[in-house]
Amino acid sequence: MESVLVLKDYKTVPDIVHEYSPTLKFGHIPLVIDNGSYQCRVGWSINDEPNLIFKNLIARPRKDRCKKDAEPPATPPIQIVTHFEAQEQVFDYIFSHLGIDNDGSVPHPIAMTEAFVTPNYCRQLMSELLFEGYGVPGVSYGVDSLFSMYKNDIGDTALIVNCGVEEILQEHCSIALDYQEEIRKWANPDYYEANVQRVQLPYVQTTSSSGLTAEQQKERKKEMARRLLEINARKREERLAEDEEQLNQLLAIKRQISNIHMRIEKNKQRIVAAATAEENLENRPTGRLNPPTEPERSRLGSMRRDLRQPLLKSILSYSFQYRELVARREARRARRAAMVKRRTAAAAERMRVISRLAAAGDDFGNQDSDWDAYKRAPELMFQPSMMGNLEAGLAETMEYVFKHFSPEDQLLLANNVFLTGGSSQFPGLKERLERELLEMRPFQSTHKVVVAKNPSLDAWYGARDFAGSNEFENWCISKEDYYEMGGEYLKEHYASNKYYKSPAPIVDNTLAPSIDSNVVKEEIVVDC
Amino acid sequence: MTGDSEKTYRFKTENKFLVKSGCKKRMWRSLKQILTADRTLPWHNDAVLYYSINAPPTFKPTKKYSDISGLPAPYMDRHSKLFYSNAEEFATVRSLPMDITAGYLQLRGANTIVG
Repeated sequence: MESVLVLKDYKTVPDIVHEYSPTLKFGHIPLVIDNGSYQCRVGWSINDEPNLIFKNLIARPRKDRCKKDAEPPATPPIQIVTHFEAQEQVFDYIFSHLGIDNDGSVPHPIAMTEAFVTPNYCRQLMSELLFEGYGVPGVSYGVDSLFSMYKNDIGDTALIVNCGVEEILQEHCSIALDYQEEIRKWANPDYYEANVQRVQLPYVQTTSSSGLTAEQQKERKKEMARRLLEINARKREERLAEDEEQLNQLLAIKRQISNIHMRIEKNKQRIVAAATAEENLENRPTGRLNPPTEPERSRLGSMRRDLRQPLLKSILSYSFQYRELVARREARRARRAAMVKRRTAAAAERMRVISRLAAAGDDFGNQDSDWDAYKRAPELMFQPSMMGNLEAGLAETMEYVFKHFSPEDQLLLANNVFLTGGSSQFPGLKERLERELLEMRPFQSTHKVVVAKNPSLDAWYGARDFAGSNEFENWCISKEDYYEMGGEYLKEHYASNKYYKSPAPIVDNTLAPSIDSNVVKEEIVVDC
Repeated sequence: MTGDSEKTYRFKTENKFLVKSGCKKRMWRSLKQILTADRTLPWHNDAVLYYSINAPPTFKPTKKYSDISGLPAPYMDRHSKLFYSNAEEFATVRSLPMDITAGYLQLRGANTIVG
């Protein structure tokens, strides 16, 4: 169980610029390009090995961040080129690294691989680029897996299983012979411990945490705790001050109320006193004091009323304010109580979930079950349903293909199952396919699986042999052909796709009749 | 290989698709768009095209694997619809919050209408 795999960063070595010798320059030596989705392999047809092998992608410095963004020119699932700006950069790279120094053109016919059943639109753009951008004299396209097949010399009838992009996984993955059996074994913890492989991904520790010792971190934690306490204390003080303030206000109101009460009393007494004085005056009229005349008396009465009304009003308003304040205080208290409650039950649950989520991202790899993917991932080839893909798996698709042929042809095909492409280097794929064939083929019929000798390079070797043959010139699309037959034109040969001329689209008469049938070009221009 | 579109090469007739930075950029049709365009054309019956070589939909019943461990899963949690293989996993499944179970289901493509 101590087998920990360390994934190394893939170190790229810059390709050297090759010498462009006079033999090459004036010999019209064909150039062979295996334009794969993972790697691009380029070399002269007179060489034994390709001159350049590089990852078929372009690193682009991003403007917003300093990170580099890799952008493969080909679009998955299989290597159909759709982004021709990138393809042009790749061609620039190829031709400049081969040292080509001819003015205005690349004077070499080109043998190039393209994906099985490449859409005409893509071939048209590719030819346009090669003929008009680089002025090549001719180009011939072939299917990489077919080149690989002819290189391996297994005859003309074969069922080709071509597996595309190879990636890092294949070094560590293998294909289970019997997935069910295998997975049952894995269910046993002992087996698991014995076989599990742990992967160490390249990991850069962030500088902020690495710069601190344990001591410092403890210190920092203490600091945090202290600060938290301070904050709490401050909050409590604030609350106290608030309450006191409120109390003072209320007390002031109370004082005012008593004052008003007193004033009312005083006024009442005064009124009573005034009334008795009046009576006295009436009873004992002396010459000195004139009894209040009628208008005077009414004035007094109205004064009394006037006095009483605002007083009443102010009392009312004060008591109303008081009640309002009390209500507000009650509401505040209730809210605080609710907060406390929330902190205990619901909030705790929420915090738990959040912390679990945060932890889920972190502890990937701590659990052993994270790492048994190394047999599960390739199994997707046979059981795409594991990933929610409803298409049939590899074996079922093969079975489906067999059904399209007569029993005799089926037998021929089954005896010549050819395995090529980078992913076919998965250990165990051959055995697995043999097993699947045994399951699907009739009882006691024979079958045979052949793996390409060099699954990643055989396509280039095959294409090189093709470009080196005497007939190569006849298979090339010349510049004249290109202008005569259109960009999508393809000369068929033993390793090529079939050429189906794009039919004219059904012209809808209700639309404008100016749509040119052959030039189905759509350009969307965007300001950058 | 860094993208250096300003550089010119002597073997080149012209920059075909590369454009100077700051100019109008051509947008490339995606494979999907190309195929959709292809599909609308009245092809001859025996033409083999990219979109016609897709694998057929599977006819075999799909095997069920535990969403947690990848082991064969005889059971399904009725509540969250996750597959699990034993009691221990069931406890895990039950403790998972909603968003994580939804993530697992999406990973398996359990939300598709056909499946």
